[in-house]
Amino acid sequence: MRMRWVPILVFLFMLPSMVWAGEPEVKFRVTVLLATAQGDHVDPQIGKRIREYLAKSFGARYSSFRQLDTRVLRVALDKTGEMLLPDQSTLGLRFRDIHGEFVKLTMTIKDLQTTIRIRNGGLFFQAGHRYKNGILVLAISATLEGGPPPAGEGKLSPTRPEPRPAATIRNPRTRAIEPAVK
Amino acid sequence: MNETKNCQQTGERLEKFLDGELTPQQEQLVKEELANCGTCRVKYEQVSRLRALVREVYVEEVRRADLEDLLPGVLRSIKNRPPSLKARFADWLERYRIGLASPVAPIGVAATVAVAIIAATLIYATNSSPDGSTRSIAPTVAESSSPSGPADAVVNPGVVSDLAKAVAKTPRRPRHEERPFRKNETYITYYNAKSGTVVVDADPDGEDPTVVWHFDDEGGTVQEENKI
Repeated sequence: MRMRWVPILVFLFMLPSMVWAGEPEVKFRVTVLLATAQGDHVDPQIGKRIREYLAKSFGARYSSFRQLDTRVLRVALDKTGEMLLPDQSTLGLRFRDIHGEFVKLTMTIKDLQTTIRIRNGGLFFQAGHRYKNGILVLAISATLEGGPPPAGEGKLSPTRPEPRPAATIRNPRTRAIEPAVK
Repeated sequence: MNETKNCQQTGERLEKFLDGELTPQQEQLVKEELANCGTCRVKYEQVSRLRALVREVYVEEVRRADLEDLLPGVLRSIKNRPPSLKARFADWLERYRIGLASPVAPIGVAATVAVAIIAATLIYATNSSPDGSTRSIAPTVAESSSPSGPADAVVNPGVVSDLAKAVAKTPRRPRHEERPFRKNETYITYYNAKSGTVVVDADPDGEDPTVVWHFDDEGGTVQEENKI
């Protein structure tokens, strides 16, 4: 056996495991905010991206936003990342699937369990649980790592088949309020 | 006279005779002459002896020549000259041929093919769509979207009414090639709350983030103020 084949063979036999090692995982960035109606202070710690939406999404009722915590959870497929919230409840984020450019996740917090498909790199909020003199607002972004990169902002979607969540087939407005059943 | 003439002719042919360069007829004539003429035989012996002497001297001189002084120079000049492209290619071919002939080669080829198949399968599975039937990274959890099923979540009656109206006026859904990228596009495909009220505030354009509200109690004015 010629010795020069040894490194090549080792590389070839390790390659499949290296490919599998690149399994996708989702980076969830969770920013925990306290929204109150007292004052109009916006914590400078709050990232620019989140701050941009606070007034639009919560400005009608809340004027003051303070950042309480921020965490990054890297979650592999079919695994759940958890973090403790200031009100001692636990937020669970389970990476369920990838649908084209969308990440499918299940969020569990207190009595609520919801399944969400979000654009890779997108942001959504969970809000409403009372805490101190206001409510907790969770800003959760989901970015796929080890998979296809998020599409560029402002560009047309690539020519992949479009994901068709059942609720959106009828009307965009209906997509979020359908009482889906397990 | 005749004898003298023959002797002269034989003498001229002796060199060629010794070198074997005469025709068979000429050679035969020389042999006859040498057998019959003593003068010619003497001349033949002289010439033969002279040639033998010259050969011995030449061989001796060659032996004396110091080849060891000459050889390194020759070798150096060969070594310093870069091998031609043709020579290098021939060398590479030779080595390659030997490599393929080695017993490990088939294993290497098989491993390469296997790796290529695995990589292609993975790439295909990753890029395939949720609607495609070839997706294999993770099993898709079946989700019912039937609105007639028992809903665990508390749904605002106004929302249901809105939903019915929206369904009635369904606009043509743009093809995805026409649809611009929506950075925060979000779909709530399932929710379940054991208690409280769930309200989802979604931007139809998919630009602003969706807010999943969950109120521990009835929610009061907050719920009403948020668009559905």
